[in-house]
Amino acid sequence: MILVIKKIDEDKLREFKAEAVRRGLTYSKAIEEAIDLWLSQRSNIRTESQMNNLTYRKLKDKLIKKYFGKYVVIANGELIGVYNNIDEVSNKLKTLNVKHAIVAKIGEEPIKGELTWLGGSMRLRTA
Amino acid sequence: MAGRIYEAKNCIKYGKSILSDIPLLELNLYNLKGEKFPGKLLIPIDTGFEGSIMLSNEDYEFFQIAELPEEYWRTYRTLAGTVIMRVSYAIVEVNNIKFQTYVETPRFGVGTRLIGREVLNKLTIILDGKNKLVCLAD
Repeated sequence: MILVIKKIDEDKLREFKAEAVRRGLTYSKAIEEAIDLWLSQRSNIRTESQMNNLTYRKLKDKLIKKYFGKYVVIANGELIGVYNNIDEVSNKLKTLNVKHAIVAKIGEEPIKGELTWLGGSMRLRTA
Repeated sequence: MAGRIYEAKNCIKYGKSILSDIPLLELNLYNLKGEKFPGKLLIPIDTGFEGSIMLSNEDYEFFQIAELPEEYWRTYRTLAGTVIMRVSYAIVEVNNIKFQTYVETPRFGVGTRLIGREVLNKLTIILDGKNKLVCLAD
């Protein structure tokens, strides 16, 4: 298969080609490896999400007792901190090098019941 | 009831479709780190969607840095059954005004871009269907 990519950053491409040569790979093989790596990172995000949710569930009762009304951040499966408002949360997130984090306002009730999406899954198609 | 006059601003053209063109809203989205979602966002207005802003799974990854716990994910009743949506905090900028909102994507399935009533209800929008223009008003 022939792949044409437009508007790619020239410096990045030059570096990529040089690294492929250093590793003794053809460009196509190097691109395949890069695609594999990118897709595997995507599945890691899911795992990170599951890990963070598990931590949240474990800590939830304690958090409600101690930090009602505050915001918590959970990342890497750990409680990162407790914050007074969303701006403080935002400042903390800027310092974290993670793909996924949980942000929760402790004590806030989840939405109960089903919401509506009237047009969900409906789309006109040509014959 | 007395009528009101709205001053139409920042009008954009409807998007093309097969039978009826689509009203779109132009906006910027930021994740909770303050990073701007790349590219111009022209998102269809969907008054049948009760939520905030739906994105594709791929777009949504940009916002996962501030996702709500699973118990806060939303369940929608649709014509094709029930859909569960993951939810993340986000900041939306429309008409030079920024406010906190949520972005959502289906837990299963690829999703699409839509603006729902949770965001629409915070805006004054003029749908000029005859001229196929969406405009904002103060």
